Amino acid sequence: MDRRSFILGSIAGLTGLRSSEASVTAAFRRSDNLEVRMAILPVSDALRAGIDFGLQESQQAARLFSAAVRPRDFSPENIDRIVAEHFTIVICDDVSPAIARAAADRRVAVFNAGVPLRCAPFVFHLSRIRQPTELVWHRDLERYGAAQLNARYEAAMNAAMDEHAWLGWLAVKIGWEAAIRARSTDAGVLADYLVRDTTVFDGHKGRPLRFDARTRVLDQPYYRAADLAAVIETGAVKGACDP
Amino acid sequence: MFVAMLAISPGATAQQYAYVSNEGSGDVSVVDLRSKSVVASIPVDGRPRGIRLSPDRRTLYVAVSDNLPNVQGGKDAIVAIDVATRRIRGRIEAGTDPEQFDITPDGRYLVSANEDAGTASITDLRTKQVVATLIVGIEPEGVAISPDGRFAYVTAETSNTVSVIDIPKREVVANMMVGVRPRGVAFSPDGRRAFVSAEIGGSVAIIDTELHRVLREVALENGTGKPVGVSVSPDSSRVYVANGGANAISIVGAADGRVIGRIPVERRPWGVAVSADGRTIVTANGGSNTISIVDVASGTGFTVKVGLRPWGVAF
Repeated sequence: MDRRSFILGSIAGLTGLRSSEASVTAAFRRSDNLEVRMAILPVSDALRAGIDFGLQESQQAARLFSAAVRPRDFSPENIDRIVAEHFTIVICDDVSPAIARAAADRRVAVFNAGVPLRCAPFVFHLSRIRQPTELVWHRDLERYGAAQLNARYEAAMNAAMDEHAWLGWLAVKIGWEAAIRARSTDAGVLADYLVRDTTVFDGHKGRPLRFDARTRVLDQPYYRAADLAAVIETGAVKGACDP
Repeated sequence: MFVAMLAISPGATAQQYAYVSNEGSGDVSVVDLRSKSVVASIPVDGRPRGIRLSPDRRTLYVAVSDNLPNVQGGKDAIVAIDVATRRIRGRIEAGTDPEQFDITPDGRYLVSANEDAGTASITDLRTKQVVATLIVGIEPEGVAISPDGRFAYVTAETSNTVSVIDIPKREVVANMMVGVRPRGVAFSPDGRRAFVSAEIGGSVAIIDTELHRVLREVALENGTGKPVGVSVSPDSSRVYVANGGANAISIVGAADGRVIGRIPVERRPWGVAVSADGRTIVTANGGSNTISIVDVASGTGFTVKVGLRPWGVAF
């Protein structure tokens, strides 16, 4: 069974519809019973806490649409299993050569919360290479709903939301939103959706966040560590994705 | 530049007073639209945001919350203010951290968004008791009730959703994905459409209220306006959207989604309301501590200084 027929078959099975293309497509358009499978690779504890929080919120949102977000832990060596079991979204903080190859083969969409050192067509980086004086998030941010997000995280995880936690939360949020809006879990469909001109995400930073279509690095405000004043970065991203 | 030109003629059908919730100063400003001045300030002991008049216009309801996340603090309530005396008549339980709410046309039920809890509460205004608490999207905010009183639409900022509550059944019957970071919602008076602003998406969604389905997203201010408040003209033909980031009101054709006008106002307009005769719109401008009172026909008007960080407006 190829990947497309698996996805369609899953939906048909869950909805109880006959597995004809027409009826399955109708169900697919409603986004009902969409199952978004996310492979979580080993990451730092702080990042993992953010991922877990993002999974909680995404699963809550998914239930509104009779959809589901299904996470599972994998080791980086198990890329074949990830692909075979149709986990089309991978969240990591280090893009191994094997993961990059799978992404280059358009079998998975990868969200890298770590340093963007390796590029591949379907690898999306949540932050650029930053200076030590730059932050992507801080527990004391308040504007643009940041206080509400910090409070929700602290209530759920009994800890303050730091940069790693925010990146983990955002990786899951973007993965889920891309799937529900694109109405697909296919890695190619997701990747296309992520770099559309009209695709934006909200990270509680007061402006739309979008992936640079060329580098696939998320364009977002960074904060000066000294005073949390926002620094808007819209220029070219230096690093492996933009040599 | 906003020009002070408008005069509301005595004896016109325009309402005389506008009520403005000021989240910074913790009070409600009562603005006389004829004298163009604040004639009263009503402290509400907390952070007021959502504000609505009862259908009979005798009671002003104001959502008040505290700064305690995820717990129901002593200040979390809907405050009921007697319009005639301008005195607080009571506090109504409405779940944790109520932000926005609406009231059924018969005045019986109040539906509120509980931002921190991810729920919406239905309160029976006769008993003043919460009769249902329903799970909606994450970080719920905007609430509007259909003109027939059957459905409440509740926006949720983080999940980018609108949940549809069947009020008589007291259950969520549908959910929709809308633009990014939805804030305000309003029904057309004819009940056929609803409109939802998306602050980060920079758009307003047009929703078919029979199917509970998004028909289209209309980009405003080139996607950078940060729209929040929404109100619809009494004849259901025009949608007024307050663009907090662009310091302007967008006028959108309700039928075709075409942007047909733009009115500059002062800094960070969030709340917006339209008069019963459709001739006047008022915005609460949080960045300048003012309201703008606009004559729709000419696009001109005047500003009035109110309390700190005005958030919502009712009149």
